[in-house]
Amino acid sequence: MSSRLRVVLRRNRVGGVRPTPAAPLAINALCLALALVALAVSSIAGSFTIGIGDGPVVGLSLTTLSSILLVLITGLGLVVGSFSSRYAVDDPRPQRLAWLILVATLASGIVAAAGTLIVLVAAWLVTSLALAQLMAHRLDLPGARRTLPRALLSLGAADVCLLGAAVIITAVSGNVPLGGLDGAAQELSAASVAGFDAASVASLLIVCAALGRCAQAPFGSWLTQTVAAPTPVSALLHAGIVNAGAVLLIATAPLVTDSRLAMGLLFAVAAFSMLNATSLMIARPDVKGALALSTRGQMAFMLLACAMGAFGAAIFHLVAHGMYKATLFLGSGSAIDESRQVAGAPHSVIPPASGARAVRQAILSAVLPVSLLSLAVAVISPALLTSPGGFVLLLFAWASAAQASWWWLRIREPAGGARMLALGTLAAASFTYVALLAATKAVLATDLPAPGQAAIPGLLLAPVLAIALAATAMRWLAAASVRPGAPTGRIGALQRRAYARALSAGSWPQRRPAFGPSRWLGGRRPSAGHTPIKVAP
Amino acid sequence: MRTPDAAFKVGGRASLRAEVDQAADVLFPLWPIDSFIAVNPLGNLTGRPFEGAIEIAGEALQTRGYWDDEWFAEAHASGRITDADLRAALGRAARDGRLPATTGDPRNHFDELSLDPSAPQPLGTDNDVLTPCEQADLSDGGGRAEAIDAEMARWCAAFLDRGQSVWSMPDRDLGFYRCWRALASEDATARRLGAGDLRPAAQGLPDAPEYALEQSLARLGITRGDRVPFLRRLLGRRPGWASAIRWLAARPERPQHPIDLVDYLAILTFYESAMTRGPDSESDPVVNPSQPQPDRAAGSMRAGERLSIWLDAYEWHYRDRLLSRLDRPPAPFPGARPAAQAVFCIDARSEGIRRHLEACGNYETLGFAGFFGLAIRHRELGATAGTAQCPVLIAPSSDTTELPLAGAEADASRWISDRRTEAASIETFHQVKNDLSSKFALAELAGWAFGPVAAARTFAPGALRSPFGLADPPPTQPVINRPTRKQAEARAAELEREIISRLAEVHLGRKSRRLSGPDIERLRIHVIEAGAAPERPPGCSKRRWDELASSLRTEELSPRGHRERVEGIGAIGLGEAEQIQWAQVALTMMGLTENFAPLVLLCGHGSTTANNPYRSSLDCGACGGNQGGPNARVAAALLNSGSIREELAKAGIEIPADTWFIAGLHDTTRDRVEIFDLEQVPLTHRSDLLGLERDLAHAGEQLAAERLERLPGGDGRAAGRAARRRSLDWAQVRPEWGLAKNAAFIIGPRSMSAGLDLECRTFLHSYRAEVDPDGSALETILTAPLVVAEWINLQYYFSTVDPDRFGAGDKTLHNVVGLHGVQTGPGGDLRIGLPRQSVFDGARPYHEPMRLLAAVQAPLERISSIIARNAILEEMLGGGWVAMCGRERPTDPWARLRRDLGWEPWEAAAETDSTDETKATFNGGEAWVVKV
Repeated sequence: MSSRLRVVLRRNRVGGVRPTPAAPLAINALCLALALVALAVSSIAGSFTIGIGDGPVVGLSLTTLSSILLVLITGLGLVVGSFSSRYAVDDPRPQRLAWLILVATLASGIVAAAGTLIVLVAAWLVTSLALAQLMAHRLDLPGARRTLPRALLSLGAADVCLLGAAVIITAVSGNVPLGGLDGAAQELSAASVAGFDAASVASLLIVCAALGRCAQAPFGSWLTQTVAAPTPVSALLHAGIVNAGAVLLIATAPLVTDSRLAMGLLFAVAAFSMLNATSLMIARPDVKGALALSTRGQMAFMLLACAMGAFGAAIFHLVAHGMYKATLFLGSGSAIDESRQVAGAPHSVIPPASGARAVRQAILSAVLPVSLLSLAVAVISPALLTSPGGFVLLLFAWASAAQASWWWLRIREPAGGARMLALGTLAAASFTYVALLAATKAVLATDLPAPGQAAIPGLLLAPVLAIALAATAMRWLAAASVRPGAPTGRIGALQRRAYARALSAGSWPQRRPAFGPSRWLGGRRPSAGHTPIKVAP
Repeated sequence: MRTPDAAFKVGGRASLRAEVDQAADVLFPLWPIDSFIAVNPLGNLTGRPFEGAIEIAGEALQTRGYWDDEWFAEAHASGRITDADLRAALGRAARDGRLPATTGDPRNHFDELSLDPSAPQPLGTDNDVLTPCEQADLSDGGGRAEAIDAEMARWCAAFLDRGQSVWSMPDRDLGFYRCWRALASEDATARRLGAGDLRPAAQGLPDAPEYALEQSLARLGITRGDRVPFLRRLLGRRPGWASAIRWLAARPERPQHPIDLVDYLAILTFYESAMTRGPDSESDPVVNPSQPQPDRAAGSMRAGERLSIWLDAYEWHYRDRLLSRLDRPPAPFPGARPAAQAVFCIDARSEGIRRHLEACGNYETLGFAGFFGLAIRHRELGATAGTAQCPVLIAPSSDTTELPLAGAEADASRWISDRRTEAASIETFHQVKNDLSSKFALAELAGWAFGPVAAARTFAPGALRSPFGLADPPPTQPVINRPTRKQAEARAAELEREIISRLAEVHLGRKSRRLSGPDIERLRIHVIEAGAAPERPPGCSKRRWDELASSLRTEELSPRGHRERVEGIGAIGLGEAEQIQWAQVALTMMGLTENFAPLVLLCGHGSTTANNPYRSSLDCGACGGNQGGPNARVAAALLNSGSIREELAKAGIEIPADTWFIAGLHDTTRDRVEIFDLEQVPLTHRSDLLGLERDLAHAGEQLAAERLERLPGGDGRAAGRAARRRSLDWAQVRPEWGLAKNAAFIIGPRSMSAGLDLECRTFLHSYRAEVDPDGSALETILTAPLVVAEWINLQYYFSTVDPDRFGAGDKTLHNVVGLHGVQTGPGGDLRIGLPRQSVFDGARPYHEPMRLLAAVQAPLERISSIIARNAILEEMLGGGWVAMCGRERPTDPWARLRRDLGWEPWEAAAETDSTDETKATFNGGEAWVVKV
């Protein structure tokens, strides 16, 4: 007997060879080499520019500062690109991913080394576009379509601000070289926009742009959504792209730092964000979400340094944090291994908790770092204490060292070799930190703008630091108490409210269905053919 | 609201719990990712046939459970499924009684098998159920269900966090529901759900989760008869966290933070009811009219039935070829004594190394479950807790540990101290990183070190060593013999003296050296047996001495702590009777009872990968997702023991005096075999061992070359080095293929398969029917290793047919959450199953989703009687979860086990048959007729 079987094939499902994207990596490596050459030239022979035109060139201005940033950004781009070429081997569009990473890297580099405002703004916008494309790289995933528009909206809002500032400045002063903003600042003060002082308006817009790129409130929501992109994209983003806020502020410092309003806004938002984002971070149970929120806090810290006119400190933070966060993101798959290592490790013999012991430990943890850091400053560079932001950075360094000593004393039995090891490590860390700080300061001395008239005095940071330290102290108390019980009553309710708020951070409000995003973005509807559960009358 | 319905008393609670349990049969417990256990995601539905289970799960999970039409169509176009295969499949289905009742020839159904991937593909079955929120979403395009699921995922992740966040959920010890209720009562941000302020509603919830669930079900208007399908749908919609909760709830020990599915469903239904009749919308839930059921001619096939025939044809195409290859004259009995015997795990990856090793010389290899039948909880040198080194189906029956070899004690204590330092460093870094004041300067300092490290790890994987990996572990030996009471006492006292002298060092500093050994012992007797306190040593302040005294008064050093310690030490190792019984059973099961070679290698396996949350999924499944080294070492030590050999000889298993057992570990990512305890090997065996090591290295290199050819981004040149590099590369998402492509389980002597290249697709268990007349060894093989293999096989099957529902999705987007598992991107459900990269090569499936075929060489009556004795086998084989073929002797033809558990002769489908035509079309519209 004979029968017929009809089998329809789809043509588009043909797997092919997946070429490793090599060209973007080669270009990136070349740019890193050029950046290293620029660094060598600028630190030996002084700054230079490359570009077209004379006077204000349309091109790059290569100072030691901008060369360092270029080396950082292209270096990160190369690491991330190389990582991604193996990691994203199954990506549906590997070539697109590789080229986008290259474009985002190079555009960020140009932002850091722009010769004129127009170049900076153009590169900034290209970065944003590349970023948007990277965030939309995996739209095939559930939820990505729903959250992306809002993320792009908050990212785009900041870009509109920058564009507005650029229009005002260019309308008043023409194509301004970034080194010559002092003159433009005076012209701008004389002009007015809609009845307001043009310099203030431009400064405010620039500060908003910086806040947006650094993912500070109220523009911050985009950053948590970028976790939906493949890991290397997050690494590049958190290490090389978000920093552009500080780069912008430094480039436009002569203008922005004279505006009390702009500096005040910057300080207020960054101070809030630093405490807020960090407290949200410590409640996050997922690795990448915590890293993203951590970046927001770190960027706030960097912007606070800018607000105080401590540009050297901001750059120091920017570079180190870039390498730090990129590594943590790329290695985010190791969390399980690390926890296994900790859980499986032999226990230390730790004397039972006692109040007196905890107090002694706390005092030791607080005092030891003070002495080590003081010694390091005294030996290496006493001038650090009086430099802008120097004292603040040392205070934070003290907080870290104290924290490290305290946990170490709790976890590792303080006996024999372990004690010496801890002391040695702490001393080495203190000296290294101070030396790095001093070196950065020395290298960048000539390239950094002076703190403007409106720089926020460091003393204002005291309440912020006090709150942060109080939070630390609370954690110490909670860890040291023999029987940690949850607080009850009002305090308990407050704590629960705060926790619920922290946990919901980054979640998206559910709109009424009529405006439901799944409708206007064409979200997948459940397929037909269902029997609803019967509902009793 | 707080007064529950009067009728809802204890009986109501119990029946509600029973309904929840019944609804939860679409979920299988999900083990934490650090001990990844391959499971059959439908493992709770195995009481039904495969097809029926898929139907139930398909409804709840919105999945089809079979490959898409387009993959089958492609397999058909490429000849991987022929028309003859399909016809044979129809015949088998008819004989199994799996076809709809028809009259006449089953082949009449042939044209009903047509595939059209471009036609709409209904999910699951025709009667999927929807919850009120889903109905409302369907009618107005809202995203209520998605919002609820996101909310649930967030609460679950926070509650089940095992230490990722430093600010953990308050009041977790109250249990999930009560803890959530306290938070939801204060959660001002719940407005984001679009149902208004939910705080008053949460505050009004009853105290018991059962009442709350009952209340919400009533508010939702779910009738009693609809409860189970409704709850099943709620659980199946997002199966991840719910499966993790199932795992936690099924654990024997009482959890620190109690949670079960009633808690979960009480919260979930609260949101369901709030979102359908929240304060904002007072309207009744939208009720959709029933969709008209598609008419179905009596006797015609449904989508699931059609696909099950395709699956069967796909499977038997492979099986026919495999069975034909196994159908050959038996290899001549190897009379001569082999240079060495090597026992590997049944794992499909062992097939490769066995094949290549055998090709190197006069070696005989065997297959046995990688835990070597030793259900042990093994504590590595200095480790705090042991790992259960046995399949999750059984509980460890003994504890083993390892102690440093004589002379290596100092190295060992340094090594342990390094491990402590390492763990404390990681933990301190974590704490400094997650703090409001200390994380800023940490980044500024650590960044300078991290940057170069990241570059090195990217450009030269493996070039950097961990700063803590200073020394290799010191030589140890496994402790296998149970200590006497006296020995246990002595060992406990030694440990206690160590604790005391360390505490003394903590409190007295350098002055603690003035305490002599007897002083410490007096202190010990003082705290444990309430003896007289020793004198305060001269020069030591009274305050410090008192502090030490108070530190010593801990639970750990109390009389009870001492008793527990002695008992714990006394339970380490195996008792004499256990040892002998184990040796006899294990050797019989692997069929190694005579003709022992001078060297017998017992080889476990494990993997090496970097930056890989799924590391454990590549380790030994028979060892509970751990590396198999400890089991191999314990097994070798036991079989080298003279007293055991004497006892074995009495039972008829004579191990020659010149036979030495050695333990090894096959690293499946690098294809290297590491041999343990080399220093114990007698001098007489050294040269044999060198030869074996050389051949193992050679075999490994060959296998690596073969494997790398199949791995994207790999090629076979300098394979050993390339494989090593791959295993250390933190950017590598696919360090190895693992068990992908596994398809069959061959139980019988190696002579069945020796010399065949089975492409690492088959589990191989050695079995010699003639040494197991009562069938007890075969019974163990069928009820334990075969079940583990079935779980692994079905994990791969389901992760491939629906990589987003049953699989974990794309690895590059994974985000480790709560140290429990991964989620995709910023939120969403915990992922179950294997990541896409484990089963797909780019856009194409790499794994061939087929159920396992067990090919057994044993008398058929023996197999049948074992099946009849074991309900698990009846379900597994009668339900079609695993297929079976058997034959008594190599010369016999294969017989296939039908679903009714009767045997029928196996016959391969004809390679070609020219009587029929298949019409194949391309989507583009171009059509032609292919003669096959």
